[in-house]
Amino acid sequence: MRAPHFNHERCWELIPWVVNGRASEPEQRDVLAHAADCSECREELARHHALHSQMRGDEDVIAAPNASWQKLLARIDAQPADSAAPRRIERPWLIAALWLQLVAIAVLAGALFRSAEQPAYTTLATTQPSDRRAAVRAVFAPGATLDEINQLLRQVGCDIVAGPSEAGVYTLAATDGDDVPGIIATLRKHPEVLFAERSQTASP
Amino acid sequence: MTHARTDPSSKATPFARPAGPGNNDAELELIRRIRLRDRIALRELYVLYHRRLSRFLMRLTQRQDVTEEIINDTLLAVWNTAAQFRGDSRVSTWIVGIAYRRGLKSLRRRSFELVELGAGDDLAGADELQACETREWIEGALVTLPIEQRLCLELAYVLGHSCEEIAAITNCSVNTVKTRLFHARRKLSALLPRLAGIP
Repeated sequence: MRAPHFNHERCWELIPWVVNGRASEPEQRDVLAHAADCSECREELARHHALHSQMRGDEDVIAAPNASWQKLLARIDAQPADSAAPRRIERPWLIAALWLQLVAIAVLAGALFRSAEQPAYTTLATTQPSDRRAAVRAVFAPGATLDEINQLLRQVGCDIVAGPSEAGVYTLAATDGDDVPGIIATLRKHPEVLFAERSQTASP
Repeated sequence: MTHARTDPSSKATPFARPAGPGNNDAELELIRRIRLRDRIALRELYVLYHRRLSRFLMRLTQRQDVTEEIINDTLLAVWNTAAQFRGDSRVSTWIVGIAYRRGLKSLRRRSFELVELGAGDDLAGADELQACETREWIEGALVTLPIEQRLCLELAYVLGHSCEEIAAITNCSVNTVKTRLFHARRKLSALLPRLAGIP
């Protein structure tokens, strides 16, 4: 059954596609049926059949492509190696692995940065590498005044070279001489000193 | 009986899509091999398209050297960009599209004058004379068409492409193709009444 919208205009529009064989079979049937009753479409169909036949009649003039093929090969060989378009990566998992690696590196770098920011935790046994002369580690009483501490340091011949740490530990170094046991003994006798011990960095 | 005709761009009627020119699956396999730099596959594609494109381009340029140059430009582009072809269209639509753009550019740059067939050719008899006259007459009419209109007709009749394929090749809408063909046909019907059997 002919489609209700199929009319003269539709037939006229389809003629080139009937002629070149690209119209569907129902369309071809409709066009031929319409052209049987319509002189204008019949003439147009005849005209384009002749035109199509004439335009496709040049097949025998095609030259052998061998020489031209050799020229194409020469042009390909003359191209720089990178002139061809980059080949698409055909392994998507490789891209995923690279991204994963990148993320892991970023996470590790972040963790390292955070750990570097954290304050160092110091114990009494922690080595204080600030000064090779460090000899004694001492903790003064909370009530000791600055004058009292200065006077005591002058008495034992020491300077404060580090501290106080978070635990209130001072590192002392002898200004001259190396009688560390004597210094420690003097400090321990003093009521303003709560703790006095040889430093791990002190010379033996 | 005469009917009024309107410009087809006012409506968009989809055409059925029977099989197009060429074996698309086989050509896709050649493109896959070309991506891997297989020159034997390129050679197969070259032979296939040299035949199709030379027929199409020789009609337009009337010069074998220019035709060969456009074909080689086209196949070089295929070699260099095969990895970017995703198979969204038929292989023939993609390759003819490249040839179309390069051919159009060449035609515009060189401003070819289409060579008319010589009237003094040696002819064997009356039939050949009549065939030659018909050919000359048709070619003379086609030359008068604007290049875009003529190319639509050439793509349809010489290479056998559908309306949708021509739209993809020429990078324009289906309605533009219909409009170009509409105007080309109106002009040809005035220039070539005898082809329809009208004396």
